[in-house]
Amino acid sequence: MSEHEPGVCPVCGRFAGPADECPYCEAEGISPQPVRMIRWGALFTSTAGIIFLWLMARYSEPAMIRAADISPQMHLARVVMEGFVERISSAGAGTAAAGRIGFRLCDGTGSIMVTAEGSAARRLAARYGKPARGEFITVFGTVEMDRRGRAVLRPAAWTIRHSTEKSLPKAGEPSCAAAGETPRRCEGLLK
Amino acid sequence: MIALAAIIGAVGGAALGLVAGCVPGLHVYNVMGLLAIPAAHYAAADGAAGVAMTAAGAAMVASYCIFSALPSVLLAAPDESAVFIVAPSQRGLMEGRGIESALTVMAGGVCGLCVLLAAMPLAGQRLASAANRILHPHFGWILWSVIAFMLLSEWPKTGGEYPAGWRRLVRGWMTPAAGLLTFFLSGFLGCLLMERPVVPPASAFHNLMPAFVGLFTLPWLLLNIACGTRIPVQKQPRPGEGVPLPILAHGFAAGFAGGAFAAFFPAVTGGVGAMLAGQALSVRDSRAFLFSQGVSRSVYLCGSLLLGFLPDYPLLRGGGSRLIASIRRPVGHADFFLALAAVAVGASLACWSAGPALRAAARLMAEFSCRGISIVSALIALLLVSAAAGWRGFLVACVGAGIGLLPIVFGSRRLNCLGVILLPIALEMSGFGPDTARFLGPLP
Repeated sequence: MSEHEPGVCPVCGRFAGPADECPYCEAEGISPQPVRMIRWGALFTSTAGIIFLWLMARYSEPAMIRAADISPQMHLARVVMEGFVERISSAGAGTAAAGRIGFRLCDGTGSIMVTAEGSAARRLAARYGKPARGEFITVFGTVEMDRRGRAVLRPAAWTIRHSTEKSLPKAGEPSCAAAGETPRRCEGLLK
Repeated sequence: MIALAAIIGAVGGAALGLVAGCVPGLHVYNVMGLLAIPAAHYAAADGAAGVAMTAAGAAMVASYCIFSALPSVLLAAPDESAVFIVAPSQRGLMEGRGIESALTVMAGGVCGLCVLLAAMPLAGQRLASAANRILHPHFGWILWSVIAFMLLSEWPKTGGEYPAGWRRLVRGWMTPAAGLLTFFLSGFLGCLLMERPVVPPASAFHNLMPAFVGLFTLPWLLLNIACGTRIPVQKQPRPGEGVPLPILAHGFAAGFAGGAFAAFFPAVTGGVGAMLAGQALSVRDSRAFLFSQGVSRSVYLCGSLLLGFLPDYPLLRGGGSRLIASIRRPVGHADFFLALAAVAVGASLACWSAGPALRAAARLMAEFSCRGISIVSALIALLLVSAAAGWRGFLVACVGAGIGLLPIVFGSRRLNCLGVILLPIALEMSGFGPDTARFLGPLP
């Protein structure tokens, strides 16, 4: 079996590719040795590789970023952000039960909208509680660019801390007016 | 000045798309992703440069989607939307009809683009906004239905020759089991990439690129290297040979329906769209099949890009429109028509270059071995992954290559590798995103 041309059935001489059984004459065990090795190698590397990758991801700390550092190239980045709840979105105020949570997080360098919808919003509110204006919050989530080019943080978890735990000036009365919104489009490229 | 910048950008982008299309394993989004950061810098500095970059991006995608038929048919499958091209075209290639197969796919791509260019200004805005408003609340369950169809349509292909018993059961289940394993492993990989910080935030835009290179590009190249397949001399198609019009029309209808569905629907790519449309319209003839794949590919890639340019209701679908929006956000009718013009320039340049490129490819295949070309292509692909996402990206590509090899060596469908985006996005759309993140490990 090892002398025949790779990919060609040694019985009928037709092209069978990497198949182990000829689709034309149904001869078995026709695949060359490298393909047989690749077959079991692929099974092992895919399963073992994904387990190691999972372990690597499990023990990797997500990067903590500031609102001013966000750029369009960070679309789908899994990050941690912390700051004060500057305001609760009027569309989402008290509507977690109705399926939407939205608040603006201000970290002193800028602000970003944190939004969850549907059953994800209900589960987050039930598990982590609903943040209120002025509270200090750490959010783990995904940065996404919406269709207007603005950054939005989709939360996977958050921790609400009392304002007194952080000695930031005027706790409970944060002001991002000077810092402005998260930079849009071409501004704020990666430092 | 702006008009000149647009023309220069479109011609330059189209030329770059032709080069990207000719290199096996290189996807246009990878090239655009690498160019996005410097392009955004220039676009911010100068308005004319921004227009040129926008035109270049649109023209690059158009010329790529026609020219990528070359390596897809003659060497390997560069991405998932080429999965269905491989089987009938590989048969043609081994019979010396590879150039004819490539021309059929390219012709499909050109026809798809022509109809898309005519349809987008007439009905694109109204259709896309109406469809999005109606279907948006239903995206979740529709996506689960697509996944269910994919998995349920894996069926036992071997084992029927054995008498009833364990051996028959094992042989019969080998193909569907490999398909299911591929789907769940690639789905798990997708969940890891989307829910955990595997790739650093600065490379997050490319977080799926290493997985795609691993799942769809490297497996065929590795197999070519391992097997050292010899490709026979390719015959030039004779004048007067052609495909009957009804067969082409059948292929066109299936390809356009599949491509349009994939372009509009989030997470559904050209390969899935083509599978659904092919099943619905029952495309059996291999020429109609190849033609439909060309149509589907071009409508999917350029359609999803043009949806991001719609003047009043832009929809960001696929990597192309997001990459262009990250360089310079398209606004209004001017940018919409700029994108249409750039797509037309890209398509026409691809048409003019198709003949010489096919002759050059035939000469290249006669002079160099398939193994040599595959080694160079694999090195280029790995170099790109490392440049875009670092060593972690390289690791993801290696794991992806292991998963991507499973359907090839066990004889199941490569489409199952699309679990990498279908599963995490379906979970996210159904509100299980935070639960998936928690399942994968403790949250910070």
